[in-house]
Amino acid sequence: MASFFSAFAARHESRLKELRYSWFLFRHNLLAMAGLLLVIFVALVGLFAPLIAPQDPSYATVGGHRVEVWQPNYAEQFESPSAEHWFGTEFFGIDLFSMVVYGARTSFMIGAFVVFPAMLIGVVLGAFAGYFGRGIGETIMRITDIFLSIPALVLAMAIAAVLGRSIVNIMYALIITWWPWYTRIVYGQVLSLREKQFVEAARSVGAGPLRIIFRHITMNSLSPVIVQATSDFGYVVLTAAGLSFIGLGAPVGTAEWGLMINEGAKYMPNYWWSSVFPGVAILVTVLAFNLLGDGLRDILDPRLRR
Amino acid sequence: MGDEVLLSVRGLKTHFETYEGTVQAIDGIDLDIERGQTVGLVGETGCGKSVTALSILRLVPDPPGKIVAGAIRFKGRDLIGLTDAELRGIRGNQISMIFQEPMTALNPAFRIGEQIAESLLRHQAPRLTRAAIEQLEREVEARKEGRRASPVSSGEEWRCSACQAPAVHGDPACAGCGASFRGFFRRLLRPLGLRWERRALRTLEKDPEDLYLALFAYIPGLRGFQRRLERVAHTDVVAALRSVRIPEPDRIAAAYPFELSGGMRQRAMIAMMMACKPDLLIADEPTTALDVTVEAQILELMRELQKSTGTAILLITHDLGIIAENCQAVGVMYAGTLAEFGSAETVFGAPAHPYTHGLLQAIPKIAPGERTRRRRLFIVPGTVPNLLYPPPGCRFHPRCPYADDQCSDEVPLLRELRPGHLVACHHPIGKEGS
Repeated sequence: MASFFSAFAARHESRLKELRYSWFLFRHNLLAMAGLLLVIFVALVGLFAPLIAPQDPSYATVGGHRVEVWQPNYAEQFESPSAEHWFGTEFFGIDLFSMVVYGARTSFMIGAFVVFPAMLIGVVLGAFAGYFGRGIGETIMRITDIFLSIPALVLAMAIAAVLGRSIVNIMYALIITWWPWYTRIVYGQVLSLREKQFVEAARSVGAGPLRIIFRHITMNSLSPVIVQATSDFGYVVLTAAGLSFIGLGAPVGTAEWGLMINEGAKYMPNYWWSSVFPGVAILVTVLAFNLLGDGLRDILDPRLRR
Repeated sequence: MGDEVLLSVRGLKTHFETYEGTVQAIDGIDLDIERGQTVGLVGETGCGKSVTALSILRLVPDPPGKIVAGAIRFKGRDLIGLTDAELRGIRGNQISMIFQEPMTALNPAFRIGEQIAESLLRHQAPRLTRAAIEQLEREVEARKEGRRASPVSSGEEWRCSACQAPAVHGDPACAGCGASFRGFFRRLLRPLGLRWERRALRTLEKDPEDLYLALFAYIPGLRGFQRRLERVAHTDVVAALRSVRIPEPDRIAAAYPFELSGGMRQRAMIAMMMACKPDLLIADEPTTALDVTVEAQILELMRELQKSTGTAILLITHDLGIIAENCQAVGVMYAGTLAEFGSAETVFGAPAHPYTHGLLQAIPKIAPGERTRRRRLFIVPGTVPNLLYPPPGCRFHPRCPYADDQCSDEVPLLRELRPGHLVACHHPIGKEGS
């Protein structure tokens, strides 16, 4: 096994050296480190939610069926934060801490299932548009502009009205409004990269257009996309929470931070904890992704290095 | 070295459509390159040397550039009539090109070895696939016999403990006997992987451009066949790097371009372009970006490679010294036209075109022993014409000391002054006493 690792280290020597240097830069960036640790923290909380939460708060639809795994416990309605219920309880007497913990799952799921598909669509289209330019490129970019002009909120409302209110529908709406940003970033990158001599060199050894686009050009244009995707993760979580808050996203009863704020807001001055703790969770998550994104930008931008 | 003509360019015209009008970047070039020969192309900046090179490979960006007339016959085929796919089969395989800037001509995101392997995998797919299948069968055989091995480290050298063949770092199976190197879990999953690899390679053998496999080659877990191909190609990559005198080719193959010096990058570039042993290598100012000592090494290397592979070289430069040292034949270009073409001795010894004459006179000389008087350096008067509006007649006539009315009216055609010495001039020096 040791021989395997030494062989691995020898093969990836230069990449490891770069990584170690990047890690050195990153470690000395206090805010970025804080962001990374918080992201890891929230992710772990979401991952191990059943172990952390004292209670399973889900009473929403599971697989299309409404599953009652709990009884409304009005006896423990709106208890203030205590040793037993760290964040207090809400209207139905459910432990708010459990809901916030499970909410991390929902948020991460929304973030991942929006950002990655949007990134995939955006990068592929942007690469094609940038490489071919002229007719094909202009067409793709104008279509992108059209999608860019659709407000996320209105589209989400329309989709919710047609397809019904669910997290999955919210994700469709967000993917549709999110991919054009990636297309634009990649388009700009590819426009400058396609004039580089290594592209001409690739062509002169007989590489075809697909190979040039996806291997030679796209691989060199990914770092701004990664930075954007990282901070977008936070924004997607925020937007989804906002949509749920105004009653477009998660159906009532889901452990979703935006929805929890909305439900708690009705009892705001007296039972403040039912809104404040989910709000703090959103704040921490979005801030964490923004800090991480900024940190990555500092690392990946060669002009800010050394 | 035969006398067979490898590449023959006739009446090549490449124009660029710009906002201001049509730039006649190349206006009638004739060029012959024989097998194994080195032909030089000299001229001022902007006279169309690089465009000529790009036109031969049909790499002129279109639009705005366009080859409007002429024929480029390579091994008897006219490159102008070929489809893109056919051209891609020729580029890098039979004709390759070295670029001026080794800093930017290598892709910063990939290892040197990967970039060389790319060209090999593109053009020698059948051979490499067959070799990969052979290697795969050896591994299957070894599995059946239950042969297992672990690399025996004796100092720097690794050997397979089953057959004593040299072992490669990171290889899952011995290249010699196919015995498996890796741990318990890997061996358990191996049969599945092997079956998939065999299917993929068999498909590739039939159709090297199978679209699905081209996609699978990027998917972790499914790209085993691609990795095997790359490992098979690795031997050739190392050989290519060794042929350009790169020390520790194994280590350099795993390095990224930014880790290498300019000279090393240019060597790697040459290795990449020579990997498929092309018949013609176009070197577009290969040493301009390098310092003088490295320049000498690179040129020496190119001479050696030419001797061992018989590749013809089209050497583009603005350094007359490089041409004189390396080339059998020289073409002198001026403002998109070929002014003079002939063997290096005749062109430099008895230049017939006034422009060539002027160029040779403009080389600063320090004669040993002679008292250095303050003598002004000879220059060719005037400037290069704007190719949007080239002068009528001979394009050199506004700067030519021998020009007369005929020169401004009539375009001089390339004609044979002596056998093998072509000049496009109405009043060549050394004839008619001009």
